[in-house]
Amino acid sequence: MKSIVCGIDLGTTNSVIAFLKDGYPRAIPVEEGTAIVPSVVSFDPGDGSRWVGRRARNRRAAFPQHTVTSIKRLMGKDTMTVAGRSSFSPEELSSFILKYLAERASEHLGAPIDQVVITVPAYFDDAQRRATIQAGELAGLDVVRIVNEPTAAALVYDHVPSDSETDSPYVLVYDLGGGTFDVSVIEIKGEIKEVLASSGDTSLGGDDFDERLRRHLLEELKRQADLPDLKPDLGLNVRLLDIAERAKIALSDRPYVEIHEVALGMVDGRPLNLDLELSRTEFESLTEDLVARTMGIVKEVLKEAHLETSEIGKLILVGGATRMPAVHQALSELFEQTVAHSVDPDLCVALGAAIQGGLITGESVGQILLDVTAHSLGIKTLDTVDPETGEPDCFSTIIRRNTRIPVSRAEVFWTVADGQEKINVEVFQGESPSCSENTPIGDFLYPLESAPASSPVTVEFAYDREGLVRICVDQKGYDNRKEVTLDIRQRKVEEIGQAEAVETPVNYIAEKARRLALDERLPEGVRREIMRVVQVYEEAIRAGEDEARMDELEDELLEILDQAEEELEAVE
Amino acid sequence: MLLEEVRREQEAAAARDRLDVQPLLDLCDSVFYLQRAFRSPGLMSRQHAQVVSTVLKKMDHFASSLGLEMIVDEGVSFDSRMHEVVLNRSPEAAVLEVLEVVQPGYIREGVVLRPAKVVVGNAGES
Repeated sequence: MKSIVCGIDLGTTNSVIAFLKDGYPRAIPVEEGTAIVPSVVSFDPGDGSRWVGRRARNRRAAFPQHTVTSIKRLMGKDTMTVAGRSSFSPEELSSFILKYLAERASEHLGAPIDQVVITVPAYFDDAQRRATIQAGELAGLDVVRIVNEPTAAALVYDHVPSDSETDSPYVLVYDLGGGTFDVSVIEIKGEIKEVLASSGDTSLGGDDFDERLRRHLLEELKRQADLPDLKPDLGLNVRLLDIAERAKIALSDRPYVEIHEVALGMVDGRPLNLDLELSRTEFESLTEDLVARTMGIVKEVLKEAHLETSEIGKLILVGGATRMPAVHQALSELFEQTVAHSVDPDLCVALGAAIQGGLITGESVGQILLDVTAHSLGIKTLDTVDPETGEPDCFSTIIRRNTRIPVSRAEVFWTVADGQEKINVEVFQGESPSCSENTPIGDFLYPLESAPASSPVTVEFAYDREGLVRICVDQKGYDNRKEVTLDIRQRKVEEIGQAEAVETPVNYIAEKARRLALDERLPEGVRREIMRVVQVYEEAIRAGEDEARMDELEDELLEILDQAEEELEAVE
Repeated sequence: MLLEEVRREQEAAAARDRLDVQPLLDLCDSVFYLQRAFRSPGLMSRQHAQVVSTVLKKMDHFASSLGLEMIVDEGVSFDSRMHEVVLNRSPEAAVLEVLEVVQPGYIREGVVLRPAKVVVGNAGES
C-alpha cells in the first residue's frame, strides 16, 4: 500500500494533521469528526496508560499532576517534565502527540503514515528544530522536512487563485491562536520563501478576549441581580466563560448578539438570570487594547525587516481568533489593503505542511479552488454623495470579496430623519467605495415604523453557493422585519414570507400593475419602477395608512401605469 | 474541485451534527439549568418540582427522537470522552465519579458534540 506524506501543525494549544489527495490538501478529522486536536498528554494515575488529545484535555483538571499541556514551549530545552510516576523530555511528550495524530490519521485513511512534514514557529532555533525532528523519530516517523509555520500558510495561498495584483515579494502572516500570537514577514523569491523577521507574544491569544468578555458579563450579572458583592463560584465562571466564547464567535458575523441565560446560579433561593444585548462595538471597546498590542508587534516586525507598510504585498491570517472583524479592520487600516482570509485559519498551517509534503514527493499540487464571493456585496448608504448628482453614493460593504461561502454577515445602519418612512435598500457588488462605480444587483423598499433619527436597522446578507443572497432587514426594537432573496445571477429580488401577498394583489390596480411589471415588452427600468411603486402601495394598504397618503400613492401608481400603457401602444 | 467536494461533505456533516441542533442544545441547556436551580429542598413544592422534571424528561425524549443524547447523569464513573472535569474534589483518588454536572454535554450519532463539564470525586464526596 502506498505510504502517505502528511503535514502536521504541531501547535502549542492544538495540533492538526493533513494530507494531499489528488493534488489537494485536506485536514483529517481524527477526533469526534474534527481535525483540531488539543496538544495535551495525560497519564492514568493507576496503570500509567496514556491519553492524548481531547480525552487528555478533559482529564486535566482531574489529574493536573499527570497531565501536560503547552509542551511546545519547552522544546529544545534540557529539562524533564514529571507527569505521574515518570518524567519525560519535551521530545518524548511531543512524540506522543505526533504518534497519536499519525495513528488516528492512518486509521482514518486506511493507509500507513510514516513520513511527515512538521511545522515550527519561525523563531525556533536549531535546538528546537532538532528537538522537533527527534520527537518525530521517537514517534516512529520520518520527518522529511521542518517548515516554518508562516511559510506553510503562505504556501497554501500560493495555490489559491487571487485577483489582487502585486509586484511586492513581501508577505505578512498574522497568527492569533487561542493562547499565542506570532507575526512574520516573508520574502518570496520564486520557490524560496525566506522569513525576514518574526516576533510575537506567547501570552496573548483568543482566550484573553473570552476572559475580558467573561468579566464584563459578570459585572452585568451583578448589576442585573443587584448583587454588587457577588463572588462567582466555579460553576458560574464555567458558564460565563462558555457564554463569552459563544458571544465572541457570534459577534464575528453580526453586529449584536442577544444573551438570554437562566439560572446561572442561586442566591437566597433566587435564580441568577442574565438577559442582555451585546453589540460588537461594546465587545471591541472591551478588547481594543489587545488588538492594539498585536498591532504594536506587527510594527516592530516591519521595522526589524526594514520594510514600510506599503511594501507588504499580501496579508495572511492564521489562527481561529483572526475571525474577529476588529483584527481585519486594524490590519486593513494599517496596510491600506484587504487581508487574505479565505482558507480556514485553524487549518491553514497544516494544509501548507501537506502541500510541502506533496512537493517533496513530486506530487503535483492543483490550484485550490475555493467557493468564495467573487465581489464584495453591500448596500448604498448616505455617508457620501456623488459630487455630480448630489445623490448618496457610499458603498457600505457587508460581505467582503473572497469570503468563503456559504456565509452570513450582518451590519447595522442608522436612519437619517425623525419619523423616516422607508429605506430603499439598494444592493451593489464591486470594490469601489462609490456605488456609481459598482454594479447594481437589485433593490427593494423597506417600510419603517415611526422612530427618531439615528434609529438602528440591521441588514443581514446570507450568501449561498447558488448565487442567492437572502437579505433580512430588521428595525431594532420594533416588530418590523423583512426578508427577500436576491438572485445575483438574474439580478432578481423576491420577497420571502409574503408569497401569498405577491400572488394575490390587494386590488384591481395592483393586479394590473403587477401584470405590467412582468410584461417583457417594457424596458427593464420601467418594470422595476412599477414593481417598486406597487409594493409601496400594497404595503400602505395593508398597514392601513391614512386616506391622503393612499390617494397620493394611488395617483403615483396610476400615472406610471398610464405611461407604461402608452409605451406598449407605441410598441404595438 | 475535489477539495471543494470534500469540504462540502464535511460541512454537510458538520451542519447535521452541530448547526442544525444548536437551537435545540440551547433549549436543552436552559431546561437543565432550570431544573437544577430549583432542586434544593424547600425551593419548590413537590408538584412544582414534578412539573420541571417532567418538562426535562419530555425534552430528553424529543432530543432522543432526533438522535441527540444529553450527558447529564451524576453518580456515574468519570469517562474522559463524555466528561470534561472542571474540579476534582478527591485529588488523591485514582477512580473518580461524576458528583455534579456543571454544564450538560451532548452526543449525536455516536459523536460527542460537547463533553459535559463536571465536578468529580470519590463517591463518598457527594
